[in-house]
Amino acid sequence: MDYELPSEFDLIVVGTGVIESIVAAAASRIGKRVLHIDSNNYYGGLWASFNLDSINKLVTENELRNELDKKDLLKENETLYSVGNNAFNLKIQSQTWNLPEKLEEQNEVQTETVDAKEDVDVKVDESWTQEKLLKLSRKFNIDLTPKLHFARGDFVELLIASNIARYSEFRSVSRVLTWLNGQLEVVPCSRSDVFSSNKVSVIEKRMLMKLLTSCVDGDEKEFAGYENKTFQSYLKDRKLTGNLIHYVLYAIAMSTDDTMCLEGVKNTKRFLGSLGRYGKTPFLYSMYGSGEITQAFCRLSAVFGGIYALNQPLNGFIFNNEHTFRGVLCGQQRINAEHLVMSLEKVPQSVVDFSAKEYISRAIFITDRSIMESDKEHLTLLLFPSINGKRTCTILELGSLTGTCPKDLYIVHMFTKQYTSPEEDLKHCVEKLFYKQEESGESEIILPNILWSFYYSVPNTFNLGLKCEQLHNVYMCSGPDMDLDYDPAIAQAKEIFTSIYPDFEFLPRAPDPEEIIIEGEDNNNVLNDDNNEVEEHSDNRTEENLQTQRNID
Amino acid sequence: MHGRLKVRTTEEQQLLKRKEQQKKLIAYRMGMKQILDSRKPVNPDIYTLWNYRKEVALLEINSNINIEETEKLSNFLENELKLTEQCLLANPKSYSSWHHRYWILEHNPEANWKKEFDLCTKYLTMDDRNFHCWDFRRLVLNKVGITLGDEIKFSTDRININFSNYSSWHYRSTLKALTEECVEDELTIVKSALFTDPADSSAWFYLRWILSDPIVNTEHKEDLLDNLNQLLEIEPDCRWILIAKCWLIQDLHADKSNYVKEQIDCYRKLEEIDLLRKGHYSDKLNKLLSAN
Amino acid sequence: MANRTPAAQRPNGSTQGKICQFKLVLLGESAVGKSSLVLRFVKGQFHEYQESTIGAAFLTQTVCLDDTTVKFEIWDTAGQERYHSLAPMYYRGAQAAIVVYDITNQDTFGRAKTWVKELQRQANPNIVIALAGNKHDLMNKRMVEYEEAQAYAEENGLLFMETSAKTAMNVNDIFLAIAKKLPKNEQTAGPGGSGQGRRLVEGDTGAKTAGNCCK
Repeated sequence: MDYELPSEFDLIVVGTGVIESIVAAAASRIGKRVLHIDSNNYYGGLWASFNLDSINKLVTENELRNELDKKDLLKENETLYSVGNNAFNLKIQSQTWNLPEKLEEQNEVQTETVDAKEDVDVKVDESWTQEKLLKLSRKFNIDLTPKLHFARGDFVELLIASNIARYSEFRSVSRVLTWLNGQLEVVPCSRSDVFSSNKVSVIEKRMLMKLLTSCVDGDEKEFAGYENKTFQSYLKDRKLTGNLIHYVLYAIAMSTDDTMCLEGVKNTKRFLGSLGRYGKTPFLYSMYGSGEITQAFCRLSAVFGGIYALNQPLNGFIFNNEHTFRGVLCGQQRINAEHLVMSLEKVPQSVVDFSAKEYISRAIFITDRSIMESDKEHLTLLLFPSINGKRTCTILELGSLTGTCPKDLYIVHMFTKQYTSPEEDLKHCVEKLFYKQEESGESEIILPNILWSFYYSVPNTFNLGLKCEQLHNVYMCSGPDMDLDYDPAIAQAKEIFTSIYPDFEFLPRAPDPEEIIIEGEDNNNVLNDDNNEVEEHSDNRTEENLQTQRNID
Repeated sequence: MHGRLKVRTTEEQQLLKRKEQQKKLIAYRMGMKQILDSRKPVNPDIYTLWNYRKEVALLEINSNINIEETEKLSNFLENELKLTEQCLLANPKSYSSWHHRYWILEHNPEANWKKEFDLCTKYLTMDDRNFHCWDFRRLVLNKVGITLGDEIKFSTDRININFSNYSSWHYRSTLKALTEECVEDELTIVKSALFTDPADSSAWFYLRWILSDPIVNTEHKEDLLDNLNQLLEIEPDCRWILIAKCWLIQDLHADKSNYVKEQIDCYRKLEEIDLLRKGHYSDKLNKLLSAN
Repeated sequence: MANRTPAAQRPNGSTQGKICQFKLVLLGESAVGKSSLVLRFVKGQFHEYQESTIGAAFLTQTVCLDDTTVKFEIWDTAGQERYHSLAPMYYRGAQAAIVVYDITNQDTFGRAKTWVKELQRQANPNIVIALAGNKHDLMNKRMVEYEEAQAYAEENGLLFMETSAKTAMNVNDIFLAIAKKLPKNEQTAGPGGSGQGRRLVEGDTGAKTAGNCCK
């Protein structure tokens, strides 16, 4: 390292995941001296977005560092703990190209054969190759943990309230799909959708509207007697038709046959409560990938004095005899701080006495057309219902308008609770949505081809109850969870912040540019200036002069 | 020490606000002067001024009408259009401004009606409840040969986005007379709206317009009556359904005693649920009772 | 002054021209005077011993061109460049960039070239880039020749000026030159960023026409 970091801080945050970044921002915001470091050379950890090149080179094992002989940097009664463990890593199952590496010269002429019936195998648009995709590598922003945001959810409200919203741009999810009777269907979710849908009869329109209204407005009386029954049974009792039950249960309430009534109602409220704010569905997606979100919080932290250093060779955590945190060893340098916040992957192996009980099966695909083609590009959420004993699966399709992939391509994210392995768990969805070589193309709908696929699992560490009993002033942050939005992450970040700084407000609104004065700006002149101006202008100053006035914003 | 963040206190912000206000005052005075200099109405609804402008415009038009060089005139008319744009920006519902705009376009032999039409589309996409613009579109439509089908589609699109909109329904009703072929479609779309939200009045008005057309035959009406009865089962307290049911019964079965009873039931119910119009319903009831 | 506009150029009566908003990012090594340039431009101030300015890494300033008001949303690095940790988010949607170096320090010019490359790789391909050789007031300690920088700028299609935040030399001018070069048609100059995504703002509780399910 060609530089030294400052050596005294109030808080050191290790890892740049969402929770860590929110805590860093909140602490800097109230004036605490924050050092935020990451051993990766990118922001986001397990919540990051990558270009195509770097996701192909993703390293998943934590580099476990041995305790160095740095005793001279330790004081008496201090112990050094090594950094990191292998209990909470991402596991890559497979990464596959379904494309030729390069275009062979003779193939170049063949691009027109797409329509030719006998050439079933030439269905892939010949013009795509690995080389060509990799050339566009930087146009990809591939999320490890894609998230959507409820338009009136905790995350959007926090972004707006804290004024972090100005750092990011969003796209509205333009349709919500479900799998019904063997095909994809658009879920009518808003009043205008219900009106214009030709898939539901007029009577169904009324039934659906009435049900949705009662879920939102209904008091306890409405659901009396359903406390121990499923949401499905409530819907059935309301005499909803099969199609309507499907839309409400599997899509709007994002539930299953076993979901309890009150939880289903809660989910329905969450969905409907976010309608009508931005776009046609309740959801937003962060442009250029969900990885932008951690960066937005880190920027706020930096703007309020947080020091940022990626790519740091972290060599150990220093504790005293009472197991209280003292500082970190970063390269050759000792850096002291009062508190330590870290991502779970950084927790010293020696103190990890818990492990992930649950995994999330995930897959990412690059495809050459949308799963449901339309006259315009859509940003699609597909809630794949549980059928034949398979678990529900959440699928997100992103087009080039989201800034996450090049034109004419799509990125499809899929995830579900892990049962066996990512490929096995997601197989039933993949088979239904994408083109398969073995089946000759009898189907009238042209299915998208998978050009590249990536299967991986991440530990679901959310409900582990992360309390580090043996170490003091140390706080651990969970990795990615199953929630569609960041609600659980925000809740945890707030909890950590409040335990460290109980008397401070969590992410109060950052001032707007016009509210900021740089010391030295002479405020008393403001009024005097004014008086002069008024006088001058009443003296028939010309318009020209008026316009040369600086518009200080 | 320099470079430390300070956030303005309330007093400082007030000072700044005053400063801003002063600036605005100056800008306002300068603007006023400019406006008066160029005889532009500061209030877009002073029609005397608009009429005066029209007279000036006529002079300009007449004096230029025979001159080969049309540039001067078209510049003049273009400026008038710009003026109405500014006025409409200030008050999008200014009758005089909309009228002036159309008047100017009509007096311009080279008026670009297509562009005007596209502007309407853009405007209505942003605010589809401005009935001035819908009216204006209707006038402009007569000047450009857009096909009826496209207009119906435009209106359908607007209604699909938000059907609580008297203007787009009304516009639809002015586009064409109902025909055998389209009456089904219109009944379907209006029923969709009625069932989606029976409490929303706009579609009921459109329904009333459809029913007033003789092309709607008894079969259509019987169908509709069935639908209304289904709807009433789900929404027994919706006054619009009861009222529409009465329209239909009156129309179809005015003289059949069992239907008279249904009508009476409807009005009794209406008296109960719609207190504001209780007198009206009582009146209807009395008429029914005395006639039978 | 740079943003002077003769009244005669205005079309009669149209006091309200177009307003375009652009995101402009500053890049360059620590201590080349990025924040000072912005402070000079936005607040008309200069401090000899400017510390990094906490909380103020996001400022706005407008300049008037003929019939257009150009509003710059200026992003300062907030110190994240110091330990090579500038987030990619910083470049997103930026329509303009000023890459700053210090004319008394050759290394900073080398770094400036790296930033230009980075922009060319990461940022929007139509981004307007200006190169600013700052600290012109310290001419006698000059280590980077004007001609050298100019030749480099020309080769790479950059605007170029030597500036001084201290004396205000060319500070307004460089922003104005950028404003002139930016495309001002509606598609590219919508409020807030070129990604044409949605910005979330306070009080924005929903469009009146939106079909909320339950009302």
